[in-house]
Amino acid sequence: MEKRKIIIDVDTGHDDAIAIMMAMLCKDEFDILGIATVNGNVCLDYTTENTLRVVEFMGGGVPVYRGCEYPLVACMYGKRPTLPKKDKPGEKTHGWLLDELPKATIAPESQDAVTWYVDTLMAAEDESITLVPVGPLTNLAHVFQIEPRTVKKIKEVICMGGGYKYGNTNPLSEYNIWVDPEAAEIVMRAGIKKFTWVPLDACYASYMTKDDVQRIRDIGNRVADAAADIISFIWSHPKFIGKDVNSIVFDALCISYMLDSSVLKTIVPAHCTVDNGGGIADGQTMFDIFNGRIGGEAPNCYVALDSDREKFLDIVCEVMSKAKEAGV
Amino acid sequence: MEKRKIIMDVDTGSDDAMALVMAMLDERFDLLGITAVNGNVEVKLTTMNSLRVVECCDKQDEVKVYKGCDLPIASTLMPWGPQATQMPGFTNPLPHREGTREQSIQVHTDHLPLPVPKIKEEPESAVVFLIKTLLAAEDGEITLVPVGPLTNIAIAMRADPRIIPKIKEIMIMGGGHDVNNSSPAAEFNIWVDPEALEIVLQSGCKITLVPLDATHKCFMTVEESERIRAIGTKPAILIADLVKQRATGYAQMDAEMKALNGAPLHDALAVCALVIPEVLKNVVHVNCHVDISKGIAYGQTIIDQRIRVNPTPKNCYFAFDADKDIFVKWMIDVLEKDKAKRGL
Repeated sequence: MEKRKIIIDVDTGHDDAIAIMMAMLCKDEFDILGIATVNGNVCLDYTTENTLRVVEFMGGGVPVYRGCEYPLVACMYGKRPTLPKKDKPGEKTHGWLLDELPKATIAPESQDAVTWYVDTLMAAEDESITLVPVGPLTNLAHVFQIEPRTVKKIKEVICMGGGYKYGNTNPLSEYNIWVDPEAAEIVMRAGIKKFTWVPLDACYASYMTKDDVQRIRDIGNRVADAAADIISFIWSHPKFIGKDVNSIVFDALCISYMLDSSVLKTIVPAHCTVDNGGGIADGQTMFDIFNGRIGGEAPNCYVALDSDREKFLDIVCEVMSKAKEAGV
Repeated sequence: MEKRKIIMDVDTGSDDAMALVMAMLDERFDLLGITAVNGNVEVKLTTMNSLRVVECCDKQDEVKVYKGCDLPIASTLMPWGPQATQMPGFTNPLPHREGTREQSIQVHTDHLPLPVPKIKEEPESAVVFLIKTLLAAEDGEITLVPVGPLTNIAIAMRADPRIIPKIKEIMIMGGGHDVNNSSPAAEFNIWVDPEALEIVLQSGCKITLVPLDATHKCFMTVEESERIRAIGTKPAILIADLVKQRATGYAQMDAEMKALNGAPLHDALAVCALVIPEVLKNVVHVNCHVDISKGIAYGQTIIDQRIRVNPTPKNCYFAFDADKDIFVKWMIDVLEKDKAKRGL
């Protein structure tokens, strides 16, 4: 089987780390052309450092490119005062760097992520590269603004973000999209042939319990151990101590979907518009799913409304158990 | 004397065409490239029109043209926003696609009155060209001259902020304080992509804004343009033709220009200011930001003129006035010199 050429776009981040680990373990399935970092879960310096930590921990060999430090317009003039997220001087907020992994000694590539995307996509065959953005869509929006001819080089996009019934940052908006709503809307308008959303609805359905994480730990190799530690971060997070919560490993679901598409359920075509009006609905992904309206827009994406929890855990465990034979 | 290295960022555009002619013919410039952007017309046309001007000046062996962004960053994303919908009495939605506007009364026609160009734009995108050229340069080596919407420059700065120290200065045609043209509050280049100028204003580069307040002082009448036509070279005739076209367009909307039978030549003034700084008058170091609230002031360049003990930090120079005589003399001098150089 021909390997799938992929570019992962990350704001690492705990769940991003698991996604990168899984992709790097599936050496027969994926040819990872590069990993682009972006501002998101934490600021760009941190997402880049975290990504390098994961890549080095997994044996290296995948180039990492620094992406955009700021959302297109969403935090201008102090809007969203918490962005980009940075440590306050003298104060280390738990979970902002991946303390589960050793500090990186490798460096990112010298080229910036956006021009690297443009160069790489322009040099590729039509419909040959799969993009897996699991953070804010800032980098991709820049790429499509700069060079719309890159769009036809893309085989498909599998994107963690958005929500149909759920939001997690405000009642209607998912974090990745809320960070840079304009970028998401630019990407939705770009005319990508196949775009699949893995929204909160699918991610929440594949929650992990402490027992599930124990199953990962029982695999008994260094990658599975690190993954178990990273997935467990939520149970020692000050915000969640004493609360009955499950861990959601959002971004890993995108990688799992590429390995076995049946892990996502209820995948429906939809027209997606991202609100960027600056009000309470800013960053909402509006999926016009049934599209029976007269004058309704034709679908521009697929959205997965559900997922198979058991299958997701099986895939994660199966991939993690490859670590020894992969020599990682 | 060492030549000044510049990159022209244009939405050609009748006044952009004049700015390009002057940038190519004034020997004090080393023009590293022309990057086209969406603006007066869509980027496909601004690119093609820029190529036309290069051929008109016989510079096709020296000057390369790059195609830039087709869409503003955010202004057209709101489905009901003025940039994305029909704005009563003003214009059609952005981008101004080919064949969507009545041509006979336009300040900017789809195609410049020049033959279809034989040369083509470079294969590389304008933004990638900007980033790679600037990264390869020394610190403070290159001057940017954006005379259209700031989309290309802003996207480049965000994609790779390491280009910022490479920029010597940015001479922008855009904005307005007492004079505006696209909404009650905004000038066209900024109104097209308000967020882009704001990104550039926050970059920390040395920036000069040549706004409508200055450019409207440097209008040219059709009568005056006949002096330029008399020079007789292709570029001179182009400029005279474009002054006439612009005067016809301005007569549809600007009572003052209608009475004068003339038009301002905005973009060329920014080029002039690089070699003859005194063409700009009443240049004030100000704190300037762009309204991006998407309301009535969307795209307004707002200057903080409050008298304060602790004033807001200055981020650009704003030219409130300009000297028409210096400007017109510069155009004639450069065109005459070019004529002599060609042995005509």
